[in-house]
Amino acid sequence: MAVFFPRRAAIVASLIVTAALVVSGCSKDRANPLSPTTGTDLGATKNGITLSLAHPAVRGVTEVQDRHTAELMAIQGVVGTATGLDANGELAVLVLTEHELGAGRLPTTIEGLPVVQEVTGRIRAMDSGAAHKVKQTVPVQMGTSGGWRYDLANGYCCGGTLGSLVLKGGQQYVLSNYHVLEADIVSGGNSRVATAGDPVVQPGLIDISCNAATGQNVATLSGIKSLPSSNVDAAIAQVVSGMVRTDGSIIDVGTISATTQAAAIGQAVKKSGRTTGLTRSSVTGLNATVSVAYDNECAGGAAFTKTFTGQIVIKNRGSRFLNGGDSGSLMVQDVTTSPRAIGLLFAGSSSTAIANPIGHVLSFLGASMVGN
Amino acid sequence: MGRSLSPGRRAALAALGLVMLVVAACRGRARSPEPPAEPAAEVIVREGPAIMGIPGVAGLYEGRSPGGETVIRVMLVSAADSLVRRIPRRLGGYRVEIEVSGEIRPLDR
Repeated sequence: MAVFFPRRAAIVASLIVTAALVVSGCSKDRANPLSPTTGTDLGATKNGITLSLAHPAVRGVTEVQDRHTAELMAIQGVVGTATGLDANGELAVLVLTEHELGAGRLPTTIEGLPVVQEVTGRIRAMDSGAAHKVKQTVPVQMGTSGGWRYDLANGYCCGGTLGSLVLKGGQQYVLSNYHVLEADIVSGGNSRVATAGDPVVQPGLIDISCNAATGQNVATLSGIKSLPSSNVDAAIAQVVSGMVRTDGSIIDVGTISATTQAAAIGQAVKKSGRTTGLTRSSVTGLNATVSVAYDNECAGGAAFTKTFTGQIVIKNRGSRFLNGGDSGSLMVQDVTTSPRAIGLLFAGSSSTAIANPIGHVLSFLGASMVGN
Repeated sequence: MGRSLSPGRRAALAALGLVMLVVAACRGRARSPEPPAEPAAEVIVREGPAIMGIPGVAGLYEGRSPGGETVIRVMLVSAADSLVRRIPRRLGGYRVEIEVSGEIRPLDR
């Protein structure tokens, strides 16, 4: 009869424990508190703990970041450091760079923490947007506050950005969004619906205390309503002679190219809009299907929800690239001279901006960009 | 009277068993999936309606991970566990990443 000795039991137990550790270490699917893989939004939770400086683990990483910031900033192309998450949702040291730095330029880890490169572009003082809201001396530049002259209803006035200039049938038109210029589709709170021939004012009512009399009519609505049936949120208004610069110049951007460009992931972009002025970001996604809810007039009720396809996604952390009132802005390449149009900005959240590809917009309108 | 293994042979057998266990566990890590043949854009067109039909999904798009891998990102209005659990880990062979974007709204003022 075999007797089970204590020493044998200890050997077997240690082998089982060792095997369990090996299996878990080699396992492909690491435990992730949020399954599937989460994004790298800094507002996320990790293991049920909100990422904030109140948490010791986060503070630990910021201390590592602080110890190494000077040496990281000495690397050409590095414009900043931060504490954040890597693609696996693990705490990491972020290195902000002006442009993509190639392999070997940055350490892969610092004190055991992963290092993640984030291409932000050059960090600049933010344009407060003030120049984009004032009543301009005619002829006005684009990238400015504007809207439907009668966009006042239910105790509120509304507006957005007159973003750029397009050419259609030999005539110049201001390009903005449907929801900025033509979305009042019920008599509702103002006994009006947006109609072809209605005036477009600069600045928009939101910047002249809702008093249209202090604005200036710069264009008239075309009446081409892109929504809800098409796949673009676009509207054009025919320029009133002498009121808009015929070169299509955009505040802080200048004149653009008449040629457009398709978006690409990682592409650096900029825009000039009423609320946040001149801002920069990068394209983070393509071929987006996104659902957007529209109202039937300013501060009105629900009109319809539109699902767009094939849209461009742009990083918009903290609404720094695009915010309320910037709708209608033209998104262009982030280059100094004659940038090409890439998209028409129209929607977003505090982390994400969405643009119609400019090719889709121009195709729907039967128009081309006014530019060099 | 029963036969029993010597301590040396027992140790050797245990080591062999451990090695076999390591090989079996690590084989999965050595393999990496081949990139899907179907373009992500087509996967989004095909799978999009079903994903968009999940309450709380704001959108989905083709993105790129920091390592250069093409992924499909699904935008959610919140990080609620009950919502996250409904999102598949892969779509059309592409790894899915969750992005808590919040609701996407028109940005007039």
